[in-house]
Amino acid sequence: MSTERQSRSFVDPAVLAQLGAIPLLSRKPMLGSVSGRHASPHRGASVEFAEYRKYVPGDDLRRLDWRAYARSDRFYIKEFDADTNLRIVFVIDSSESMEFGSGGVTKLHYAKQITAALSYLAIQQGDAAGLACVGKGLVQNVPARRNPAHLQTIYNSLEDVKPQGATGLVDVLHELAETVRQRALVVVLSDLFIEPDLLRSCFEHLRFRKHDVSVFHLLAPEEIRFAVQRPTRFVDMEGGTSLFADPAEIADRYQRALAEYFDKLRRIVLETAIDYRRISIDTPYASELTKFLIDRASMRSSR
Amino acid sequence: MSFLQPYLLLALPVVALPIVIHLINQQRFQTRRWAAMMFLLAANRMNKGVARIRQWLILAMRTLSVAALIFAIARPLSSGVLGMTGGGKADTTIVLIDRSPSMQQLVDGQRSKLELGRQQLGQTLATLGSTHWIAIDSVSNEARPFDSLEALMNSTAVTPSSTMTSVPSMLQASLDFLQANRSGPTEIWICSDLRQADWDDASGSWSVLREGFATLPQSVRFHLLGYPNQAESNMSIRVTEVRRETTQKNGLEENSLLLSLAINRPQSRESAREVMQVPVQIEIDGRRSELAVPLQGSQADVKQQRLPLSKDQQRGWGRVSIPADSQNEDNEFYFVFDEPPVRRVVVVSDDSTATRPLEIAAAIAADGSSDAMVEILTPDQLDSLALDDASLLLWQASLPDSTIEPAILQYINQGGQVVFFPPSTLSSGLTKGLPGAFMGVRWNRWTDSDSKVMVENWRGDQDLFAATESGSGLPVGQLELSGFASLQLDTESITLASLTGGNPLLVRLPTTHGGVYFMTASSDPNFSSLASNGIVLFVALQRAIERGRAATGNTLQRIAGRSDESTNSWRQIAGRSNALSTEFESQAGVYQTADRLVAVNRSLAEDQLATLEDSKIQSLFAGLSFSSVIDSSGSMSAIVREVWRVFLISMIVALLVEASLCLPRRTSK
Repeated sequence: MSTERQSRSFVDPAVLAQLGAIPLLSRKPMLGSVSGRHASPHRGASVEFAEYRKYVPGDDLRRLDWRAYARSDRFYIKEFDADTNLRIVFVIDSSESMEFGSGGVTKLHYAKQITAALSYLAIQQGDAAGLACVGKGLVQNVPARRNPAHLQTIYNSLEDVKPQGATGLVDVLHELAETVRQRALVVVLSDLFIEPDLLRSCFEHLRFRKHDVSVFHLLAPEEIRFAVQRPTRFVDMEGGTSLFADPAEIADRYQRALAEYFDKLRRIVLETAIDYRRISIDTPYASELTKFLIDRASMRSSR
Repeated sequence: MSFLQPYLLLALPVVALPIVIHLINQQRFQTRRWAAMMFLLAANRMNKGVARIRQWLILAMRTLSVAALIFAIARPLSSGVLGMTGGGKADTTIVLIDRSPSMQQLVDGQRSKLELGRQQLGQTLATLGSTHWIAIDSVSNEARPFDSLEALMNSTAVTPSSTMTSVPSMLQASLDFLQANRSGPTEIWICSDLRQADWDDASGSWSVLREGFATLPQSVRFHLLGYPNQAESNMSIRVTEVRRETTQKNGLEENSLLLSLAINRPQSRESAREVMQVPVQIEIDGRRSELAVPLQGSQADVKQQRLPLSKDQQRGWGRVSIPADSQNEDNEFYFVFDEPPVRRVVVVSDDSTATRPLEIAAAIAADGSSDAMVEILTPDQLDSLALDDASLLLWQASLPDSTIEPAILQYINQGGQVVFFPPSTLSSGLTKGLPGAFMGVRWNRWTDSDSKVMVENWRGDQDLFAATESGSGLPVGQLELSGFASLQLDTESITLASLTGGNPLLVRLPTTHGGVYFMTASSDPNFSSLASNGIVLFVALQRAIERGRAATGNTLQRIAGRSDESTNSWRQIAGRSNALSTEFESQAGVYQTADRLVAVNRSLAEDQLATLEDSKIQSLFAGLSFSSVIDSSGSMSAIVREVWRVFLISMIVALLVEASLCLPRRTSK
């Protein structure tokens, strides 16, 4: 293991230490390769009782429930849930629009911070973590591994991510839905400046492949409030057309368009049952992550 | 719209300020890289028209509020009577007030036109303000300065009178005042009921007035407050003749008064059909009686209604009146009666042949009575000249010398009439010129003409050669002269008729009382056809006699109007109780002077209802700055009123609308 410690702008050890006590859990059964902290679709040898089933010849006699036999004079096999690890894939939108930010923090940087923290937690608890950066297409793809050294690879990749071009998130999500092995936790970090109807198909595709999808919808506070004072020529960061507008004249319609977009997105999120979080990047990512982890933990316990 | 401080309107370009700021703001745009373009583009597509209209509305409201503020501080007036050039405080304001009886017509059941005009003028002029206040009323026709508008409006210049108005005379007085005083910018306000008789639009003086005002160095603006509205049911009464008569009946002497009167009302369909009984109150020396006069159509005449008098009553006064209507000034008429004065004509002649036609023409009374006396004196008999009760003095001799001149001047001052004819010594060629002069006029020389000299022109509208009441002119043009005298005029004179070649035929000297005429034609049949064509001579002499009788009689019927006669000794017997003694000659009523009774009444023209049309009035003031407010409905309440409050309220409303449009829309979270 390398002894040299690289300082990463998106990694805050204090935050990692703070989050370390909270497990990262999936909402759905995961299909891991080794034993882990997550529920598996298969029966296994965990301490979590699953069900009784009738004995069939060939079953391990050690798993017969003798007490049930004594009560009912029938042979029952006692089954337990299997615990497994998970594959977590971070999909970071690295289009030019992610370069927008406020207070010195860009959306891309915020996404990197979240990715760095969650990947650390995942690898820490033995899960495999991978990374996919999306520009116009799939710019970078780091397959999921659970090797602790892999964290370095992920961090290096995050370091290399530069915002460029328009977003091809829709196509990449469809591609990942097919290429990532079933039952993975897919964490999307993007500003989602895409038509909601296009996103619907992506989310449905991922759901069909039994992935647990979490979306961090990152927005700058200026984009939400649209607090621009003077007439401005707005230049599209992703290379589209520019637009001259007087904010005083257009603000209310901007807010209306934004509200319609949120409304559509909310309906899609409800219909596709994804874990959606709209985050204004002026809030500390640590608290957002804490909320994320706690919500997932509480969902697991109530299951 | 007019403004009291129009120079503040120079700030009107400031209304463009919101637009300029908007444009500057548009130019000072920033360029910014933006991620969420999809929302901007969506917003740009969304309801662009409504948003644009909203922006324009905001801009319009801002502009409107600035404009309203500027208009408000420029002190706008509600009426356009001042015209676009109006506004600003005038240096001199001259108010011409029609005080004629027709202005006493009630317009709203309570206030007369004069009262309404006084109130409206007061309000208007109080709003406009002025440095100097001048009033010219229709009675005095003189410019009277006032310290303040309040003093003007409370003066006698706005009180009723019975005098007929002459608007040209009032304007002439204004012009004289402006020429004499060199005032600054002047406003002339005319308050009148637009009666045609008052305005005398056919008068030639209008063109002179227009030229006079146009050449004034200062700006003069005319404003007319017109009240031409006529009452449909107004009736008027007028006494046309009063005569006392003594008759013998059953051996008893009866003394009675023959009264003729006329009642008029406007022509209408109803009046043509319906016959109404008009109760006429007749008051003689305080005793009243009533007479019902049937009236159908527009006029009813009562001829020589006999009213009994006591046996010993020779003189007295009376009044006829009809029930009150919308104009009470023409509902009564005063008269006085007396023993008629004798018709005594004195002829001073040096040639009986020449004066024979004069004697005949003077001896016949126009009314057929036989009490005409003609006394002929030769220049030698002038010591016995008595002019006290003479109606007319005809002088065909050398002009009066210094011994007799004072007596004749006194006679003239008492209202006597004198007609001078060329002396026979001049016409017979005995002398080339006579040395004597009378009132600055002397006989110059006699001119014999081989051909007949005709009368070229004469004044048919006034004085001795005026046309008859029926409108037909006297045959003055038919006169033929074979010789005439020329005059040396060292004083002002009025030529009433002139001959071919420009020599005067009849000249009148301007006098305050009485009449002094010089006839250049001799009445000798050898020199003129005055005798053979006797109509002209007869009518002229009869007119002169009647004037002389009126002046020398004990009673006097006169038309209300200013005269130079002092009214200090007048005592009111009947009439308006609040009339000023200084204006008795202008107020209808009966007055007692030292030796006679005087009845003052409105003129006949006051009963003529015709009014001037607006276009005609405009033409009278053509070329001058003129505006008018004509109250044709009778409901004109205020002419000029400050309306800055409206503009301030508009500004507040505009600002509130602008604020509401600028309010950010509530957006769903």
